[in-house]
Amino acid sequence: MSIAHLTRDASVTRQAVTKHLHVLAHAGLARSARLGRESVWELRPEPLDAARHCLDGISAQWDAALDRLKIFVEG
Amino acid sequence: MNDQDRIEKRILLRAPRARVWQALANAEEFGQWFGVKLSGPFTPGARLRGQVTHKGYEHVAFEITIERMEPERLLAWRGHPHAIDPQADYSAEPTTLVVFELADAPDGTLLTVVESGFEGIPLSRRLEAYRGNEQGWAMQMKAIERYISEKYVGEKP
Repeated sequence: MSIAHLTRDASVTRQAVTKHLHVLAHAGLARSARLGRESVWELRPEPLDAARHCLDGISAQWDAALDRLKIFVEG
Repeated sequence: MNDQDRIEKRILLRAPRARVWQALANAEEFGQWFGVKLSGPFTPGARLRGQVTHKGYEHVAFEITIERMEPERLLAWRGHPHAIDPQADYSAEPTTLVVFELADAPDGTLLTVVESGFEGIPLSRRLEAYRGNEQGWAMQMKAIERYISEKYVGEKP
């Protein structure tokens, strides 16, 4: 989407929208490309999915560790 | 993103609090079930280093700083979660806080573990799978760039 399009229904200025987009881009959640004279932006959900996936992995590691602790102290 | 910020676990251990505390606070015992060989004893403020002993993860370094110890009640440390890449320097990244809390239960000890502070940690960068994905993305963006530049080069409105 273009910045003009993104700003149309927003109650903030074009500059504010651009600033937010750059913050999102820095976090890897949005990307821009030049299309002629305009910058078009797109959402990138992949980092969020990856973060969720990584957190699930850490959660599973805790489950496994606590199961080992249970055997360790009850044995 | 609150659900993304913490992991909470609760487990009933059929053992007295003193026994559970020893398994948590004695570095050697801790290492046996947690799967890490640690360099020194647990004392408040201590920075402990160790090697993960799980098969296939022996190259992974484990480093924690003990924040708080209240005998038979609470143990807290800070560390870098999922720091699996030996080439990466995680020292500049924020740490997570891991808190173990012990409470009496009818049949033993109720242990609660909370790991919090994941917000601000670039978890997505730690995934091998994601790295492949990232490259895929970079290639795709190049292709789009090429497409756009070829399409619009020399085309003046």
